[in-house]
Amino acid sequence: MKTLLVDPEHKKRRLTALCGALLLVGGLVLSIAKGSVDIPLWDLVLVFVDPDINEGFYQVVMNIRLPRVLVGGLVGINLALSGAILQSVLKNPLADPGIIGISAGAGLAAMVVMILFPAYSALIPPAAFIGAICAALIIYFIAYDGGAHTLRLVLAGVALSAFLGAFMSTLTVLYSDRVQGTVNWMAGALIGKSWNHLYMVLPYSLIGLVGAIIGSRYLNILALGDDIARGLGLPVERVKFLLTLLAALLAASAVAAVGLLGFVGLIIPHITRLLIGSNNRFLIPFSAAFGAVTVIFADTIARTLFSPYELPVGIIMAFVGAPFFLYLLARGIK
Amino acid sequence: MSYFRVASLRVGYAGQDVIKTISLTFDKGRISTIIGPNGSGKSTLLKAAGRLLKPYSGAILLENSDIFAMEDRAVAKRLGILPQSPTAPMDLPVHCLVAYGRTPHHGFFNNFSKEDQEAVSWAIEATGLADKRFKRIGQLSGGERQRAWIAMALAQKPEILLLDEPTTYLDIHHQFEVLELLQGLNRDHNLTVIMVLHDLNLAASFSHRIIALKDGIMVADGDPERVLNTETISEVFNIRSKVLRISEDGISKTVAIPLGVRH
Repeated sequence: MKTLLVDPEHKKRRLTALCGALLLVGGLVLSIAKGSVDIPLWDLVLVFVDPDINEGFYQVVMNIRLPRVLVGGLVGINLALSGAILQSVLKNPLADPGIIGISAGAGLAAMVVMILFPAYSALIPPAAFIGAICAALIIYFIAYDGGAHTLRLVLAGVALSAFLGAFMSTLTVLYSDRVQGTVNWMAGALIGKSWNHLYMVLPYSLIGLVGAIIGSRYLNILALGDDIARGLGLPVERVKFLLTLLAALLAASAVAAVGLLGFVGLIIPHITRLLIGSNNRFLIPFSAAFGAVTVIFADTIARTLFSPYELPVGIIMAFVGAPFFLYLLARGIK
Repeated sequence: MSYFRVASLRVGYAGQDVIKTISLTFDKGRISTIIGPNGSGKSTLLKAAGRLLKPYSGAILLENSDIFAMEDRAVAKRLGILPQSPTAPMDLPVHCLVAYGRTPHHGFFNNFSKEDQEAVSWAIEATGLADKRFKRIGQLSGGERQRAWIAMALAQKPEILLLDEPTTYLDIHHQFEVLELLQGLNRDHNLTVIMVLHDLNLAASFSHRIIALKDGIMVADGDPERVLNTETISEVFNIRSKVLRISEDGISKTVAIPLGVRH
Protein backbone atom coordinates (compact mmCIF):
# COMPACT_ATOMS: atom_id res chain seq x y z
CA MET A 1 0.00 0.00 0.00
CA LYS A 2 2.55 2.62 -1.05
CA THR A 3 0.65 4.14 -3.89
CA LEU A 4 0.97 7.78 -2.93
CA LEU A 5 3.62 8.80 -0.49
CA VAL A 6 4.13 12.36 -1.60
CA ASP A 7 1.45 14.95 -1.09
CA PRO A 8 0.43 16.11 -4.59
CA GLU A 9 0.38 19.66 -3.24
CA HIS A 10 4.18 19.71 -3.11
CA LYS A 11 4.49 20.66 -6.77
CA LYS A 12 2.00 23.47 -6.49
CA ARG A 13 3.82 24.92 -3.51
CA ARG A 14 7.16 24.72 -5.27
CA LEU A 15 5.72 26.50 -8.28
CA THR A 16 4.19 29.18 -6.09
CA ALA A 17 7.51 29.61 -4.28
CA LEU A 18 9.28 30.04 -7.60
CA CYS A 19 6.74 32.61 -8.80
CA GLY A 20 6.96 34.41 -5.47
CA ALA A 21 10.74 34.56 -5.64
CA LEU A 22 10.65 35.84 -9.23
CA LEU A 23 8.07 38.46 -8.32
CA LEU A 24 10.13 39.56 -5.32
CA VAL A 25 13.33 39.94 -7.34
CA GLY A 26 11.43 41.52 -10.23
CA GLY A 27 9.68 43.90 -7.84
CA LEU A 28 12.94 44.90 -6.20
CA VAL A 29 14.64 45.60 -9.52
CA LEU A 30 11.66 47.39 -11.04
CA SER A 31 11.09 49.47 -7.95
CA ILE A 32 14.73 50.56 -7.79
CA ALA A 33 14.89 51.30 -11.52
CA LYS A 34 11.64 53.24 -11.85
CA GLY A 35 10.93 56.70 -10.52
CA SER A 36 11.38 60.35 -11.31
CA VAL A 37 14.73 59.33 -12.81
CA ASP A 38 14.54 56.03 -14.71
CA ILE A 39 17.68 53.98 -14.42
CA PRO A 40 18.38 51.58 -17.29
CA LEU A 41 18.92 48.01 -16.13
CA TRP A 42 22.56 47.90 -17.19
CA ASP A 43 23.37 51.12 -15.33
CA LEU A 44 21.64 49.66 -12.29
CA VAL A 45 23.97 46.67 -12.40
CA LEU A 46 26.95 49.00 -12.77
CA VAL A 47 25.93 50.90 -9.63
CA PHE A 48 26.61 47.80 -7.61
CA VAL A 49 29.80 47.04 -9.50
CA ASP A 50 31.48 50.41 -9.18
CA PRO A 51 29.93 53.49 -7.56
CA ASP A 52 32.18 55.86 -9.48
CA ILE A 53 30.84 55.04 -12.95
CA ASN A 54 27.72 57.12 -12.48
CA GLU A 55 27.77 59.12 -9.27
CA GLY A 56 24.22 60.42 -9.77
CA PHE A 57 22.65 57.00 -10.20
CA TYR A 58 24.69 55.72 -7.28
CA GLN A 59 23.28 58.41 -4.99
CA VAL A 60 19.72 57.79 -6.15
CA VAL A 61 19.95 54.04 -5.70
CA MET A 62 21.95 53.82 -2.50
CA ASN A 63 20.53 56.74 -0.55
CA ILE A 64 16.98 57.01 -1.78
CA ARG A 65 15.53 54.00 -3.56
CA LEU A 66 17.25 51.00 -2.02
CA PRO A 67 16.46 51.86 1.62
CA ARG A 68 12.97 52.88 0.63
CA VAL A 69 12.30 49.63 -1.21
CA LEU A 70 13.77 47.55 1.59
CA VAL A 71 11.73 49.36 4.24
CA GLY A 72 8.67 48.78 2.07
CA GLY A 73 9.48 45.09 1.81
CA LEU A 74 9.96 44.68 5.56
CA VAL A 75 6.80 46.59 6.34
CA GLY A 76 4.92 44.37 3.89
CA ILE A 77 6.32 41.29 5.63
CA ASN A 78 5.36 42.58 9.08
CA LEU A 79 1.83 43.59 8.16
CA ALA A 80 1.11 40.40 6.23
CA LEU A 81 2.39 38.24 9.09
CA SER A 82 0.44 40.26 11.63
CA GLY A 83 -2.75 39.79 9.61
CA ALA A 84 -2.14 36.08 9.06
CA ILE A 85 -1.59 35.51 12.78
CA LEU A 86 -4.60 37.59 13.84
CA GLN A 87 -6.91 35.88 11.35
CA SER A 88 -5.93 32.49 12.78
CA VAL A 89 -5.90 33.38 16.46
CA LEU A 90 -9.18 35.31 16.35
CA LYS A 91 -10.70 32.81 13.88
CA ASN A 92 -11.86 35.84 11.99
CA PRO A 93 -11.31 36.32 8.27
CA LEU A 94 -11.61 40.09 8.57
CA ALA A 95 -8.93 40.45 11.22
CA ASP A 96 -6.23 42.87 10.15
CA PRO A 97 -4.18 45.15 12.39
CA GLY A 98 -5.63 48.18 10.59
CA ILE A 99 -9.23 47.09 10.70
CA ILE A 100 -9.40 45.96 14.30
CA GLY A 101 -7.70 49.09 15.64
CA ILE A 102 -4.25 47.76 16.57
CA SER A 103 -2.56 50.03 14.03
CA ALA A 104 -4.44 53.03 15.36
CA GLY A 105 -3.20 52.25 18.88
CA ALA A 106 0.35 51.95 17.61
CA GLY A 107 -0.10 55.08 15.51
CA LEU A 108 -1.31 57.26 18.35
CA ALA A 109 1.49 56.15 20.66
CA ALA A 110 4.08 56.66 17.92
CA MET A 111 2.68 60.09 17.14
CA VAL A 112 2.80 61.15 20.77
CA VAL A 113 6.52 60.34 20.88
CA MET A 114 7.16 61.94 17.49
CA ILE A 115 5.44 65.17 18.38
CA LEU A 116 5.95 65.58 22.11
CA PHE A 117 9.35 63.93 22.49
CA PRO A 118 10.98 64.34 19.08
CA ALA A 119 14.44 63.80 20.57
CA TYR A 120 13.63 60.21 21.50
CA SER A 121 12.82 58.76 18.09
CA ALA A 122 14.38 55.46 19.13
CA LEU A 123 11.45 55.08 21.50
CA ILE A 124 8.93 55.19 18.66
CA PRO A 125 8.79 51.42 18.03
CA PRO A 126 8.51 50.41 21.71
CA ALA A 127 5.88 53.11 22.28
CA ALA A 128 3.98 51.92 19.22
CA PHE A 129 4.18 48.37 20.56
CA ILE A 130 2.64 49.44 23.88
CA GLY A 131 -0.05 51.36 22.01
CA ALA A 132 -0.79 48.35 19.84
CA ILE A 133 -1.08 46.06 22.86
CA CYS A 134 -3.41 48.47 24.66
CA ALA A 135 -5.61 48.61 21.56
CA ALA A 136 -5.56 44.81 21.30
CA LEU A 137 -6.60 44.47 24.94
CA ILE A 138 -9.44 46.96 24.56
CA ILE A 139 -10.70 45.16 21.47
CA TYR A 140 -10.37 41.84 23.21
CA PHE A 141 -12.51 42.90 26.16
CA ILE A 142 -15.13 44.60 24.02
CA ALA A 143 -15.50 42.08 21.24
CA TYR A 144 -14.57 38.76 22.81
CA ASP A 145 -17.45 36.70 24.01
CA GLY A 146 -16.39 33.07 24.11
CA GLY A 147 -15.03 33.64 20.60
CA ALA A 148 -14.39 36.74 18.56
CA HIS A 149 -17.54 37.30 16.56
CA THR A 150 -16.62 38.59 13.12
CA LEU A 151 -18.76 41.68 12.75
CA ARG A 152 -18.57 42.62 16.39
CA LEU A 153 -14.80 42.61 16.20
CA VAL A 154 -14.80 44.71 13.05
CA LEU A 155 -17.30 47.22 14.43
CA ALA A 156 -15.35 47.54 17.67
CA GLY A 157 -12.21 48.05 15.58
CA VAL A 158 -13.84 50.75 13.49
CA ALA A 159 -15.02 52.59 16.60
CA LEU A 160 -11.66 52.30 18.33
CA SER A 161 -9.81 53.43 15.20
CA ALA A 162 -12.09 56.46 14.88
CA PHE A 163 -11.63 57.30 18.56
CA LEU A 164 -7.83 57.03 18.46
CA GLY A 165 -7.82 58.77 15.08
CA ALA A 166 -9.54 61.74 16.70
CA PHE A 167 -6.63 62.04 19.14
CA MET A 168 -4.18 61.85 16.28
CA SER A 169 -6.02 64.56 14.36
CA THR A 170 -6.10 66.74 17.45
CA LEU A 171 -2.36 66.35 17.89
CA THR A 172 -1.68 67.25 14.28
CA VAL A 173 -3.77 70.39 14.59
CA LEU A 174 -2.36 71.51 17.93
CA TYR A 175 1.23 70.85 16.92
CA SER A 176 0.95 71.61 13.24
CA ASP A 177 4.34 73.38 13.42
CA ARG A 178 6.07 70.21 14.60
CA VAL A 179 4.44 67.82 12.25
CA GLN A 180 5.89 67.32 8.84
CA GLY A 181 4.24 65.09 6.31
CA THR A 182 1.40 64.05 8.60
CA VAL A 183 -0.87 63.45 5.67
CA ASN A 184 1.61 60.97 4.31
CA TRP A 185 2.06 59.32 7.67
CA MET A 186 -1.67 58.97 8.32
CA ALA A 187 -2.09 57.25 4.96
CA GLY A 188 1.05 55.16 5.22
CA ALA A 189 3.85 56.30 2.95
CA LEU A 190 7.39 55.29 2.11
CA ILE A 191 8.45 58.76 0.96
CA GLY A 192 11.87 59.66 2.33
CA LYS A 193 12.51 56.40 4.14
CA SER A 194 16.18 56.02 4.91
CA TRP A 195 18.59 53.41 6.18
CA ASN A 196 17.74 54.55 9.70
CA HIS A 197 14.14 53.48 9.18
CA LEU A 198 15.38 50.17 7.84
CA TYR A 199 17.52 49.55 10.92
CA MET A 200 14.55 50.51 13.08
CA VAL A 201 12.22 47.92 11.50
CA LEU A 202 14.70 45.15 10.75
CA PRO A 203 15.08 43.69 14.28
CA TYR A 204 11.32 43.54 14.71
CA SER A 205 10.88 41.89 11.34
CA LEU A 206 13.47 39.28 12.22
CA ILE A 207 11.93 38.57 15.63
CA GLY A 208 8.49 38.55 14.04
CA LEU A 209 9.44 36.25 11.20
CA VAL A 210 11.18 33.74 13.48
CA GLY A 211 8.32 33.94 15.97
CA ALA A 212 5.70 33.48 13.28
CA ILE A 213 7.48 30.50 11.75
CA ILE A 214 7.72 28.85 15.17
CA GLY A 215 4.15 29.90 15.87
CA SER A 216 2.86 28.40 12.63
CA ARG A 217 2.75 24.95 14.23
CA TYR A 218 0.63 26.29 17.05
CA LEU A 219 -1.60 28.12 14.59
CA ASN A 220 -2.26 24.84 12.80
CA ILE A 221 -3.35 23.17 16.02
CA LEU A 222 -5.47 26.18 17.02
CA ALA A 223 -7.25 25.92 13.66
CA LEU A 224 -8.79 22.64 14.88
CA GLY A 225 -10.67 24.50 17.59
CA ASP A 226 -9.82 25.33 21.18
CA ASP A 227 -11.12 22.06 22.63
CA ILE A 228 -9.16 19.86 20.23
CA ALA A 229 -6.06 21.99 20.82
CA ARG A 230 -6.42 21.60 24.58
CA GLY A 231 -7.01 17.89 24.17
CA LEU A 232 -3.70 17.70 22.30
CA GLY A 233 -1.92 19.28 25.26
CA LEU A 234 -1.66 22.85 23.98
CA PRO A 235 -1.89 25.59 26.64
CA VAL A 236 -4.42 27.41 24.46
CA GLU A 237 -4.86 30.68 26.37
CA ARG A 238 -1.13 31.22 26.80
CA VAL A 239 -0.39 30.43 23.15
CA LYS A 240 -3.11 32.78 21.91
CA PHE A 241 -1.86 35.55 24.17
CA LEU A 242 1.74 35.20 22.96
CA LEU A 243 0.71 35.05 19.31
CA THR A 244 -1.41 38.18 19.73
CA LEU A 245 1.59 39.94 21.30
CA LEU A 246 3.65 38.89 18.31
CA ALA A 247 1.04 40.22 15.88
CA ALA A 248 0.90 43.50 17.80
CA LEU A 249 4.70 43.78 17.74
CA LEU A 250 4.81 43.21 13.98
CA ALA A 251 2.07 45.73 13.28
CA ALA A 252 3.55 48.28 15.68
CA SER A 253 6.99 48.21 14.07
CA ALA A 254 5.43 48.68 10.64
CA VAL A 255 3.34 51.61 11.86
CA ALA A 256 6.32 53.15 13.64
CA ALA A 257 8.22 53.18 10.37
CA VAL A 258 5.68 54.16 7.73
CA GLY A 259 2.44 55.15 9.43
CA LEU A 260 -1.04 53.76 9.02
CA LEU A 261 -0.58 51.54 5.99
CA GLY A 262 -3.75 49.48 5.84
CA PHE A 263 -5.16 46.39 4.15
CA VAL A 264 -1.86 44.56 3.59
CA GLY A 265 -2.60 42.31 6.55
CA LEU A 266 -6.09 41.67 5.27
CA ILE A 267 -5.48 40.95 1.60
CA ILE A 268 -2.20 39.06 1.60
CA PRO A 269 -3.10 36.12 3.87
CA HIS A 270 -6.34 35.61 1.92
CA ILE A 271 -4.68 35.56 -1.46
CA THR A 272 -1.88 33.37 -0.16
CA ARG A 273 -4.45 30.96 1.28
CA LEU A 274 -6.16 30.77 -2.12
CA LEU A 275 -2.83 29.96 -3.74
CA ILE A 276 -1.28 27.43 -1.39
CA GLY A 277 -3.97 26.50 1.15
CA SER A 278 -4.42 27.12 4.83
CA ASN A 279 -1.52 25.12 6.29
CA ASN A 280 0.25 27.78 8.36
CA ARG A 281 3.66 26.22 7.92
CA PHE A 282 3.47 27.38 4.33
CA LEU A 283 0.97 30.20 4.73
CA ILE A 284 3.23 32.13 7.11
CA PRO A 285 6.43 32.26 5.00
CA PHE A 286 4.49 32.69 1.75
CA SER A 287 2.41 35.51 3.25
CA ALA A 288 5.62 37.23 4.31
CA ALA A 289 7.03 36.99 0.79
CA PHE A 290 3.83 38.15 -0.90
CA GLY A 291 3.45 40.97 1.63
CA ALA A 292 6.87 42.27 0.64
CA VAL A 293 6.10 41.87 -3.07
CA THR A 294 2.77 43.69 -2.76
CA VAL A 295 4.04 46.71 -0.86
CA ILE A 296 7.05 47.04 -3.17
CA PHE A 297 4.86 46.94 -6.31
CA ALA A 298 2.22 49.20 -4.80
CA ASP A 299 4.87 51.72 -3.86
CA THR A 300 6.29 51.64 -7.36
CA ILE A 301 2.84 52.42 -8.70
CA ALA A 302 2.35 55.13 -6.07
CA ARG A 303 5.60 56.80 -7.09
CA THR A 304 5.14 56.62 -10.84
CA LEU A 305 1.40 56.88 -11.49
CA PHE A 306 1.13 60.67 -11.21
CA SER A 307 4.80 61.49 -11.49
CA PRO A 308 6.19 63.94 -10.50
CA TYR A 309 3.58 63.74 -7.73
CA GLU A 310 3.92 60.84 -5.33
CA LEU A 311 0.98 59.17 -3.68
CA PRO A 312 1.40 57.53 -0.29
CA VAL A 313 1.51 53.76 -0.85
CA GLY A 314 -1.36 53.42 1.64
CA ILE A 315 -3.68 55.08 -0.87
CA ILE A 316 -2.90 52.45 -3.50
CA MET A 317 -3.46 49.74 -0.89
CA ALA A 318 -6.80 51.30 0.05
CA PHE A 319 -7.88 51.42 -3.61
CA VAL A 320 -7.28 47.70 -3.82
CA GLY A 321 -7.97 46.68 -0.24
CA ALA A 322 -11.28 48.35 0.50
CA PRO A 323 -13.11 46.65 -2.41
CA PHE A 324 -11.50 43.38 -1.37
CA PHE A 325 -12.80 43.88 2.16
CA LEU A 326 -16.29 44.50 0.77
CA TYR A 327 -15.97 41.40 -1.37
CA LEU A 328 -15.15 39.32 1.72
CA LEU A 329 -18.16 40.81 3.51
CA ALA A 330 -20.45 40.18 0.55
CA ARG A 331 -19.28 36.59 0.26
CA GLY A 332 -21.35 35.97 3.34
CA ILE A 333 -19.16 36.00 6.40
CA LYS A 334 -21.30 35.53 9.44
CA MET B 1 -6.30 1.46 42.82
CA SER B 2 -9.02 2.70 40.54
CA TYR B 3 -8.07 3.42 36.94
CA PHE B 4 -10.01 6.51 35.94
CA ARG B 5 -12.18 8.23 38.47
CA VAL B 6 -14.58 11.14 38.59
CA ALA B 7 -14.54 12.07 42.27
CA SER B 8 -17.36 14.19 43.74
CA LEU B 9 -17.36 16.32 40.61
CA ARG B 10 -19.25 19.60 40.62
CA VAL B 11 -18.83 21.60 37.42
CA GLY B 12 -20.68 23.98 35.13
CA TYR B 13 -20.48 27.24 33.23
CA ALA B 14 -20.30 30.82 34.51
CA GLY B 15 -20.67 29.78 38.12
CA GLN B 16 -23.84 27.85 37.37
CA ASP B 17 -23.76 24.19 38.39
CA VAL B 18 -24.52 21.79 35.55
CA ILE B 19 -23.17 18.66 37.18
CA LYS B 20 -24.21 18.50 40.82
CA THR B 21 -21.74 16.17 42.46
CA ILE B 22 -21.17 12.96 40.55
CA SER B 23 -18.73 10.19 41.39
CA LEU B 24 -17.88 7.46 38.90
CA THR B 25 -15.13 4.88 38.55
CA PHE B 26 -14.15 3.61 35.13
CA ASP B 27 -12.34 0.34 34.61
CA LYS B 28 -9.67 -0.12 32.00
CA GLY B 29 -10.69 -1.52 28.63
CA ARG B 30 -14.42 -0.95 28.87
CA ILE B 31 -16.87 1.02 26.77
CA SER B 32 -19.09 3.29 28.85
CA THR B 33 -21.80 5.48 27.42
CA ILE B 34 -23.43 8.48 29.02
CA ILE B 35 -27.05 9.07 28.05
CA GLY B 36 -29.60 11.64 29.07
CA PRO B 37 -31.88 14.33 27.70
CA ASN B 38 -30.66 17.69 26.37
CA GLY B 39 -29.24 19.82 29.13
CA SER B 40 -28.72 16.88 31.47
CA GLY B 41 -24.98 17.62 31.66
CA LYS B 42 -23.62 14.78 29.50
CA SER B 43 -21.25 16.93 27.52
CA THR B 44 -20.29 18.94 30.57
CA LEU B 45 -19.33 15.76 32.41
CA LEU B 46 -17.31 14.56 29.43
CA LYS B 47 -15.56 17.91 29.06
CA ALA B 48 -14.56 17.93 32.70
CA ALA B 49 -13.31 14.35 32.42
CA GLY B 50 -11.34 15.39 29.33
CA ARG B 51 -9.72 18.34 31.13
CA LEU B 52 -11.46 20.94 28.98
CA LEU B 53 -13.51 22.33 31.84
CA LYS B 54 -12.16 22.95 35.32
CA PRO B 55 -14.28 21.52 38.13
CA TYR B 56 -15.74 23.82 40.80
CA SER B 57 -15.01 21.07 43.26
CA GLY B 58 -14.01 17.45 43.19
CA ALA B 59 -11.39 15.97 40.91
CA ILE B 60 -10.72 13.78 37.89
CA LEU B 61 -8.17 11.14 38.81
CA LEU B 62 -6.13 9.08 36.39
CA GLU B 63 -4.52 6.30 38.43
CA ASN B 64 -4.93 8.53 41.47
CA SER B 65 -3.27 11.60 39.89
CA ASP B 66 -5.41 14.70 39.49
CA ILE B 67 -5.38 15.38 35.74
CA PHE B 68 -5.70 19.12 36.34
CA ALA B 69 -2.46 19.02 38.32
CA MET B 70 -0.62 17.06 35.64
CA GLU B 71 1.35 18.52 32.72
CA ASP B 72 -0.72 19.36 29.63
CA ARG B 73 1.19 17.00 27.42
CA ALA B 74 1.46 14.20 29.98
CA VAL B 75 -2.33 14.05 30.15
CA ALA B 76 -2.69 14.35 26.37
CA LYS B 77 -0.48 11.29 25.89
CA ARG B 78 -2.90 9.14 27.87
CA LEU B 79 -6.25 10.79 27.42
CA GLY B 80 -7.77 11.74 24.09
CA ILE B 81 -10.97 13.76 23.68
CA LEU B 82 -13.11 14.43 20.61
CA PRO B 83 -15.65 17.18 21.19
CA GLN B 84 -18.94 17.23 19.33
CA SER B 85 -18.70 18.10 15.61
CA PRO B 86 -15.13 19.36 15.51
CA THR B 87 -14.16 21.50 12.53
CA ALA B 88 -10.93 21.62 10.57
CA PRO B 89 -9.86 23.70 7.56
CA MET B 90 -11.58 22.21 4.52
CA ASP B 91 -8.33 21.93 2.59
CA LEU B 92 -6.52 20.04 5.34
CA PRO B 93 -5.31 16.67 4.04
CA VAL B 94 -6.32 13.64 6.10
CA HIS B 95 -2.73 12.60 6.81
CA CYS B 96 -1.94 16.07 8.20
CA LEU B 97 -4.96 16.01 10.49
CA VAL B 98 -3.97 12.58 11.77
CA ALA B 99 -0.36 13.74 12.23
CA TYR B 100 -1.59 16.57 14.50
CA GLY B 101 -2.61 13.80 16.86
CA ARG B 102 1.09 13.25 17.55
CA THR B 103 1.42 16.76 19.00
CA PRO B 104 1.69 15.69 22.65
CA HIS B 105 4.39 13.15 21.78
CA HIS B 106 6.87 14.93 19.57
CA GLY B 107 6.52 18.33 21.19
CA PHE B 108 6.65 21.51 19.20
CA PHE B 109 10.28 21.71 18.35
CA ASN B 110 11.21 18.14 17.61
CA ASN B 111 10.60 16.72 14.23
CA PHE B 112 8.51 13.74 13.39
CA SER B 113 10.16 10.51 14.56
CA LYS B 114 9.77 7.04 13.11
CA GLU B 115 7.47 6.21 15.99
CA ASP B 116 5.28 9.20 15.14
CA GLN B 117 5.22 8.12 11.51
CA GLU B 118 4.18 4.60 12.46
CA ALA B 119 1.45 5.79 14.81
CA VAL B 120 -0.01 7.93 12.04
CA SER B 121 0.07 5.08 9.52
CA TRP B 122 -1.47 2.71 12.04
CA ALA B 123 -4.27 5.16 12.87
CA ILE B 124 -5.02 5.70 9.19
CA GLU B 125 -5.12 1.96 8.53
CA ALA B 126 -7.16 1.21 11.63
CA THR B 127 -9.85 3.67 10.58
CA GLY B 128 -9.88 2.36 7.01
CA LEU B 129 -8.72 5.63 5.50
CA ALA B 130 -5.61 4.35 3.71
CA ASP B 131 -6.90 5.27 0.25
CA LYS B 132 -8.15 8.65 1.54
CA ARG B 133 -4.79 9.63 3.02
CA PHE B 134 -4.26 12.60 0.70
CA LYS B 135 -7.88 13.60 0.39
CA ARG B 136 -8.89 16.94 1.91
CA ILE B 137 -11.31 17.08 4.82
CA GLY B 138 -13.77 18.91 2.57
CA GLN B 139 -13.76 16.01 0.10
CA LEU B 140 -14.80 13.42 2.68
CA SER B 141 -18.28 12.19 3.49
CA GLY B 142 -19.63 12.78 7.00
CA GLY B 143 -18.70 9.29 8.12
CA GLU B 144 -15.21 9.50 6.67
CA ARG B 145 -14.72 12.84 8.30
CA GLN B 146 -15.68 11.42 11.68
CA ARG B 147 -13.29 8.52 11.10
CA ALA B 148 -10.54 10.98 10.23
CA TRP B 149 -11.06 12.71 13.58
CA ILE B 150 -11.01 9.38 15.35
CA ALA B 151 -7.80 8.57 13.48
CA MET B 152 -6.31 11.81 14.81
CA ALA B 153 -7.29 10.83 18.34
CA LEU B 154 -5.87 7.33 17.80
CA ALA B 155 -2.55 8.67 16.54
CA GLN B 156 -2.37 10.33 19.92
CA LYS B 157 -2.25 6.73 21.22
CA PRO B 158 -4.40 7.41 24.27
CA GLU B 159 -5.41 4.72 26.73
CA ILE B 160 -8.71 6.45 27.24
CA LEU B 161 -10.73 8.03 24.47
CA LEU B 162 -13.59 10.38 25.29
CA LEU B 163 -16.07 11.13 22.51
CA ASP B 164 -18.99 13.53 22.53
CA GLU B 165 -21.70 12.23 20.23
CA PRO B 166 -19.41 10.71 17.61
CA THR B 167 -22.43 9.76 15.50
CA THR B 168 -24.16 13.13 15.17
CA TYR B 169 -25.19 14.02 11.63
CA LEU B 170 -24.34 10.55 10.39
CA ASP B 171 -26.76 8.21 8.66
CA ILE B 172 -27.42 4.84 10.22
CA HIS B 173 -24.77 3.05 8.16
CA HIS B 174 -22.07 5.51 9.18
CA GLN B 175 -23.27 5.45 12.78
CA PHE B 176 -22.65 1.73 12.90
CA GLU B 177 -19.39 2.10 11.02
CA VAL B 178 -18.01 4.54 13.60
CA LEU B 179 -19.24 2.57 16.60
CA GLU B 180 -18.01 -0.76 15.23
CA LEU B 181 -14.65 0.89 14.71
CA LEU B 182 -14.58 1.94 18.38
CA GLN B 183 -15.73 -1.52 19.43
CA GLY B 184 -12.91 -3.09 17.41
CA LEU B 185 -10.32 -0.76 18.92
CA ASN B 186 -11.62 -1.58 22.37
CA ARG B 187 -11.44 -5.30 21.69
CA ASP B 188 -8.07 -5.36 19.88
CA HIS B 189 -6.19 -2.63 21.70
CA ASN B 190 -7.92 -2.54 25.07
CA LEU B 191 -8.87 1.10 24.45
CA THR B 192 -11.05 2.50 27.20
CA VAL B 193 -13.94 4.38 25.62
CA ILE B 194 -16.21 6.85 27.38
CA MET B 195 -18.72 8.51 25.12
CA VAL B 196 -21.92 10.46 24.99
CA LEU B 197 -24.66 9.10 22.72
CA HIS B 198 -28.16 10.30 22.02
CA ASP B 199 -29.52 7.04 20.72
CA LEU B 200 -30.47 4.58 23.46
CA ASN B 201 -30.35 1.54 21.23
CA LEU B 202 -26.92 2.36 19.83
CA ALA B 203 -25.75 2.91 23.40
CA ALA B 204 -27.15 -0.47 24.44
CA SER B 205 -25.61 -2.25 21.43
CA PHE B 206 -22.10 -0.98 21.84
CA SER B 207 -21.52 -0.39 25.54
CA HIS B 208 -20.48 -2.47 28.50
CA ARG B 209 -21.99 0.12 30.75
CA ILE B 210 -24.57 2.87 30.51
CA ILE B 211 -24.71 5.91 32.76
CA ALA B 212 -27.97 7.89 32.68
CA LEU B 213 -27.99 11.55 33.70
CA LYS B 214 -30.84 13.92 34.34
CA ASP B 215 -30.49 17.53 35.50
CA GLY B 216 -26.88 17.00 36.42
CA ILE B 217 -27.58 14.02 38.62
CA MET B 218 -26.84 10.37 37.93
CA VAL B 219 -30.09 8.44 37.71
CA ALA B 220 -28.89 5.00 36.65
CA ASP B 221 -25.59 3.21 36.14
CA GLY B 222 -24.96 -0.35 35.05
CA ASP B 223 -24.87 -2.76 32.15
CA PRO B 224 -27.29 -2.03 29.29
CA GLU B 225 -29.70 -4.84 30.22
CA ARG B 226 -30.13 -3.34 33.68
CA VAL B 227 -30.32 0.34 32.77
CA LEU B 228 -32.59 -0.04 29.76
CA ASN B 229 -35.98 -0.62 31.38
CA THR B 230 -39.26 1.20 31.07
CA GLU B 231 -39.02 2.78 34.52
CA THR B 232 -35.57 4.30 33.99
CA ILE B 233 -36.40 5.46 30.47
CA SER B 234 -39.57 7.02 31.78
CA GLU B 235 -37.70 8.77 34.57
CA VAL B 236 -34.83 10.03 32.44
CA PHE B 237 -36.53 10.95 29.16
CA ASN B 238 -40.09 11.34 30.29
CA ILE B 239 -41.44 8.97 27.65
CA ARG B 240 -43.39 5.74 27.65
CA SER B 241 -41.55 2.86 26.05
CA LYS B 242 -41.41 -0.87 25.59
CA VAL B 243 -38.16 -2.72 26.09
CA LEU B 244 -37.54 -5.86 24.06
CA ARG B 245 -34.77 -8.41 24.08
CA ILE B 246 -34.18 -9.79 20.65
CA SER B 247 -31.97 -12.55 19.28
CA GLU B 248 -31.42 -12.54 15.56
CA ASP B 249 -28.53 -13.85 13.46
CA GLY B 250 -26.73 -14.76 16.65
CA ILE B 251 -26.86 -11.16 17.87
CA SER B 252 -28.78 -10.49 21.06
CA LYS B 253 -29.80 -6.96 21.82
CA THR B 254 -31.81 -4.98 24.26
CA VAL B 255 -33.98 -2.54 22.36
CA ALA B 256 -36.13 0.25 23.71
CA ILE B 257 -39.04 1.30 21.57
CA PRO B 258 -40.44 4.73 22.44
CA LEU B 259 -44.23 4.76 22.51
CA GLY B 260 -44.92 8.39 23.22
CA VAL B 261 -44.47 11.30 25.57
CA ARG B 262 -45.54 10.64 29.13
CA HIS B 263 -48.34 12.88 30.31
